[in-house]
Amino acid sequence: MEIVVSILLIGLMFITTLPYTFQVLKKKEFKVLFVQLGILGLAIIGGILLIFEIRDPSISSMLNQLSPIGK
Amino acid sequence: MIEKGRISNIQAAMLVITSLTIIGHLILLTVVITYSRQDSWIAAIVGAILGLAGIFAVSKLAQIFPGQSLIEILFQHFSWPGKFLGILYLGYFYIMVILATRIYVEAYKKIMIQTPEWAFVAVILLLTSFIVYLGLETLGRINQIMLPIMVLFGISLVLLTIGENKDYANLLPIFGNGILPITKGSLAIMGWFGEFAILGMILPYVQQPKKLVKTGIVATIITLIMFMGPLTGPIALFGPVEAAKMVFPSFSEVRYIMAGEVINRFDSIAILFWTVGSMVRISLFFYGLSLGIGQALRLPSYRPLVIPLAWLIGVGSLLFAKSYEEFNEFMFESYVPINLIMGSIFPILLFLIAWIFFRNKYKTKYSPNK
Repeated sequence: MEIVVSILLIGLMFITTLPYTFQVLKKKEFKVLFVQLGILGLAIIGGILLIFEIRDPSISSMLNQLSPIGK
Repeated sequence: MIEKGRISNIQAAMLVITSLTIIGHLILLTVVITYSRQDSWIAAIVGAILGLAGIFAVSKLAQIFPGQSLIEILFQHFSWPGKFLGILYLGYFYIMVILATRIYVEAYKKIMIQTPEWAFVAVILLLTSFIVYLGLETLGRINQIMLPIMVLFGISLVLLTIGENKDYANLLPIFGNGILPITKGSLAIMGWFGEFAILGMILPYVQQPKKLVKTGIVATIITLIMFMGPLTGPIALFGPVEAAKMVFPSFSEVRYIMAGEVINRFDSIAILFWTVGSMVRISLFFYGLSLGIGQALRLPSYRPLVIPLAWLIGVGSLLFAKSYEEFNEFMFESYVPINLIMGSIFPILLFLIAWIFFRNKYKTKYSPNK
């Protein structure tokens, strides 16, 4: 089930970004395209982590590890 | 220049006022009341005065490098340390935007318990993506309409809560627990004012750059005044110990209002304001992040990045904390140091370096004879 949801999420991400990607390709701005794909890639990894419920360590707990307060 | 829009100094001030007030009313209250108890109001005043240093530095940086945002300044004038710092600032904007989104989710979860978190995230990010895509002018104008309405209703709520068994003797004794609790609380407030660093992304686009310092100071004073009511209200109503234990003290306070038999349940109005405030806050940091990435990578526009970033923010806000407890822990342990470093220490250092090495340029640009 998680794999199906992950595929659906990836599909949804690409569908919503497609109009902007198309515009960027039309103007041949490949740098923007790479940045878009990089950000989407990170979002996909995060989304898959969420779907498979791998939330440990969370962003806040990682930042708390670096904090000088409360140690 | 990626951003072609212009906003007035008042609009810029109003943007940060809304942005800071919303996190102040929702979350920071608990942090300050826990640290400083009945002396929280003193901590707020001291913290605001200390916070002015960072605000002054950000404003002066924008004057030394006219027409350039914080990210542009760092990437173009400070060599590789500047680039490293610029990446840190982009990370900071990202943390602040996912934090704002998570605060919105946590506030709504209080009243809509069964709705999944992602539903709230989807709604707010659809809205804010549209605002960010339309640009700074749109954001400034929306806020210019909404903030006065929110202030008017806020004042009326304060007046209505005055009759609700408030005992301002709960604010005594002054300095009852010594100086240390006030110092801790004032550092939290100073950190909160560190969020003014986002001004570094919008100040290049204000119409009167010469009045930036004045704009910053006025925004600080108004934010402080708007924070005093929600800070003293819960302490007067519930006492400092009980108020410190509450998740959203100002929300609990508003729930007590009953104006006659018919006009009650003001909590819906509070939720409405928090929605609008969160919308502005998320949009502002989202805008700063999109524009910053666009400027750092010298892209022709930041707009193609808005939708991918919205996905990244949505996912990040859900991965931010597993529970409210973890989220609260972040507010006590990391929020203040992060904002103190990014909003006060780095801007002051940057200003000092810029003032030493770029002073001549500064004089040429702003000489009264020119």
